[in-house]
Amino acid sequence: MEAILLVEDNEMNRDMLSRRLSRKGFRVIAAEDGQQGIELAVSERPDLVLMDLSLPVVDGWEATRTLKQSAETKHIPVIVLTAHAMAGDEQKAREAGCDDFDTKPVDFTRLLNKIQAALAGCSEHQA
Amino acid sequence: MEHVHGSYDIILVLFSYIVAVVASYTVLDLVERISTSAGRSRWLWLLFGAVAMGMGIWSMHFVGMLAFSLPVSVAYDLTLVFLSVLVAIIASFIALYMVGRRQTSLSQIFGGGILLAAGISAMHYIGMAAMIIDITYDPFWFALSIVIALVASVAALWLSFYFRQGAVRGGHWKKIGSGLIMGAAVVGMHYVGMAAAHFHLGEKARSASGIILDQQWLAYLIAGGTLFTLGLSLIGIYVSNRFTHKDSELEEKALEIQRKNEELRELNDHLEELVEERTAELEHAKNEAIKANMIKSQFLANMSHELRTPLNAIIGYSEMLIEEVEELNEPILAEDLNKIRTAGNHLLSLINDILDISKIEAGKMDIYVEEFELNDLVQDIETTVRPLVEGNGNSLEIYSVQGAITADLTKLRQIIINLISNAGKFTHNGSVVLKVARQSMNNVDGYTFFVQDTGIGMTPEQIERLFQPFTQADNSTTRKYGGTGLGLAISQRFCQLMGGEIKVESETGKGSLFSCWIPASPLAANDASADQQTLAQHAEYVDQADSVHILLIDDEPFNHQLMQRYLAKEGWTLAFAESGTKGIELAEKLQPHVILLDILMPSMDGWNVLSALKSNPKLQDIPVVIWSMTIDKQLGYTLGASEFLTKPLQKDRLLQVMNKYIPKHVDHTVLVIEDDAATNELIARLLEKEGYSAVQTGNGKLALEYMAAEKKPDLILLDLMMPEMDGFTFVEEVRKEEEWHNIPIVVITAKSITSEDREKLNGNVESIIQKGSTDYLTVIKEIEQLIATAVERSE
Repeated sequence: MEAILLVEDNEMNRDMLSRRLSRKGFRVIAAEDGQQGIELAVSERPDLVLMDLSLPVVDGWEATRTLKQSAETKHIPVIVLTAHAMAGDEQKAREAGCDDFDTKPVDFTRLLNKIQAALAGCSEHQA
Repeated sequence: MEHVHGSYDIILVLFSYIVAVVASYTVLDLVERISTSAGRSRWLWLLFGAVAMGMGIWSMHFVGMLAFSLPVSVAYDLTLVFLSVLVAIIASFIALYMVGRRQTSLSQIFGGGILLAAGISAMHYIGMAAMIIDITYDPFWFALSIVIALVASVAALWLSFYFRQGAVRGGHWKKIGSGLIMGAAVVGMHYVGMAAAHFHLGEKARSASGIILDQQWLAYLIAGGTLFTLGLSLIGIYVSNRFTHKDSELEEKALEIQRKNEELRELNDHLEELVEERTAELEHAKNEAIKANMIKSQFLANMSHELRTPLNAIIGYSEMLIEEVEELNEPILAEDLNKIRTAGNHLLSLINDILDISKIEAGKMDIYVEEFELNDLVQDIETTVRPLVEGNGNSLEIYSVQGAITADLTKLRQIIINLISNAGKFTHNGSVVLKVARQSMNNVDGYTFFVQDTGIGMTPEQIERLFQPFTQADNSTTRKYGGTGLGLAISQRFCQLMGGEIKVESETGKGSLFSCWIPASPLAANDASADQQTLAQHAEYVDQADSVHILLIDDEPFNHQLMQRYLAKEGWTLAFAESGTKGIELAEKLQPHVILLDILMPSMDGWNVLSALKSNPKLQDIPVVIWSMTIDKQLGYTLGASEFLTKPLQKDRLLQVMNKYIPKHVDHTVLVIEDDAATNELIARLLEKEGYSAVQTGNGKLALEYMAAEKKPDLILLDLMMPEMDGFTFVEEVRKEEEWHNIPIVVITAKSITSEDREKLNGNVESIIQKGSTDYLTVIKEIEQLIATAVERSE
């Protein structure tokens, strides 16, 4: 069972998404801010991180950069999941080092496809 | 020897005084004139003055003599009488000469005075000597008369000098007063002189030899002299006044010119100030606009983010619940939850639309062009729209050609989906058809996507408002059918960005037909991401054109495309410049009919460009139409702008303004001679669309009749094979007539031209065009050129 770390400050969205992901058979670890997200990524070693961008304490861009700069966590695929959907937002997120990008409101099927792709790419990479 | 005593006639004494005063006044008046004139006129004035003064003094003297009657009759020596007149005039001349100079010192006045006094005294005593009677003089009275003459002369000269200084208030009255005093002095001298004289009846009076002038003669002489003096005085005053009047008029004019000059200079200074002020204001406005735009973008980004976050929960929970409820087999609950989800998705599409339209309005919508297969696009669209269309009980039919297209896939997809989902939305239990066909428009290869429905349709008024943002055909539709009313506005803008256009035909109750035409590959000139290179390419294209109608100077490429779309259809050629400097350069090179000018541009703003255009003699006659968001009409008119258009642009107004400045061909008549009515009609309509007036005739005979009866056409379009009179005969007939010799003839025929035919026509027609070998646009262009040359030649 793959573990997904969901970093999301909005309680409702965190609850909704973790329940939906659980229903699809993922083990979901939830973090409320960027700092917690980094800590959990290090301690729990999830298979994938779903990262919001506007987060308290440490924002999503910073958290993504930190994860991607650390040797321990840089192999973990990060999908940025954000309500920042203006032109240029994806570019900024990619510059922070994320592997993929999707916007809210979540198109769940599309998100699942991206998760699968990222996990597949990752295992391919590891193999 | 007998001593005689005389007596005075008091009336004549008074008269002598009046003569003296008039003479004095005239002299005072004249001195001013003498001093201000130069050259020949100065000498004339001097002579005139001298004669007037001399005669005046002399007249006074002899009136005085007439007033004095001796008990015996006295004869006069005529030679001496004339000598006395001469002396008076010479003395006056010298005196006037002295004081008439521009600069006169006191010593000169004094010298002049002595000379004048000597003259007057000499005149008086010569006059006395002219009396043929023995006279002895009392030395005291004699001396006194000389002193009075001296004082009177100096005073007179000084006074005249004093008046010349100009700025004397009430000069006229003072001059009269001085005349009175001077007159008195001259008279005083005379009577004192007379008092010095003692008359004796002796040898001299009795012998009375020589020329005898009796009292009667004396009276004639005096009357003549006095009249002469008075006449001269009157003329002098009249002329002097007229000159003075003219002078003052001139002076007034000069003052006015000076004042005007000053006003102009002030205005000029003010204008510069105004321009500077305006420039600063514009700079400020521009900064404000940039700031406002940034704030707006930030606001939109925030709004988008804030709206998406709760929507995420709404859509996410409803989807999750739908799944759970379906597993629990609760279809009714699932249906309700589905409504929540649909509403959420609708809300999301609204947000996306609003963001889209804001980006378009701000000119920030980018186009990403890629090549793809039409088939893939159509299939993708079908998958998306089929459930939507069929949901309303409609059938969906799709017919498409094969082929590749280079366009912005996402946007084209969005356009077609929007058109089809609209069709599905407004149609119930009917049919929706998508048909894709390859079609050229204005010689550009492309595809048309037809979307036809059998729905509620629209009225002409509704169609008019259709592509305006935030307007649905009817406000009630928003309530009934939902939507922001942005969909079509966005689709139209997207389509335009790709160089295409959406058109609509519709009738209430009978459904609608939307057609969206897109070029098969982006046109160089219509490329939304038009960069320097494409602009340069376009400029080159324009360089080859014979004449450019409109030059647009605007830094925003989007406006170039917009203008291209709006104006190119009118058959006008356009040139673009993305900066002021480039604009002026192009204007000089192309000499357009009219220049459209943006104001807010980097480096050189529109006002500066306008000033530069208007101060260039080669360009100043080209009308400039300002096209800007902020318009200061006053400043614009001051700098020489002809007209103003505001952004966003209204097409009708634009065409109206452009029509005003671009000459049409209306006054050019083209005679179409073609027996096939349909072809004839088609050609005539094409010509009329281009602005020519077309006259249709069915054969050569009718054409000749028209030309003879009505008017000479500017060009003839001729078919060859026609009944009654064919084209060959017609050409022969026309060329026979001297008057019709220069009318260009263009043969358009379906007949295959043999070398024999060619020989027959050669030299008599300008051009032979095979029907179907070329398109009408080329023909029209050729016609335009031929007419232009013919008109030039006839001029």
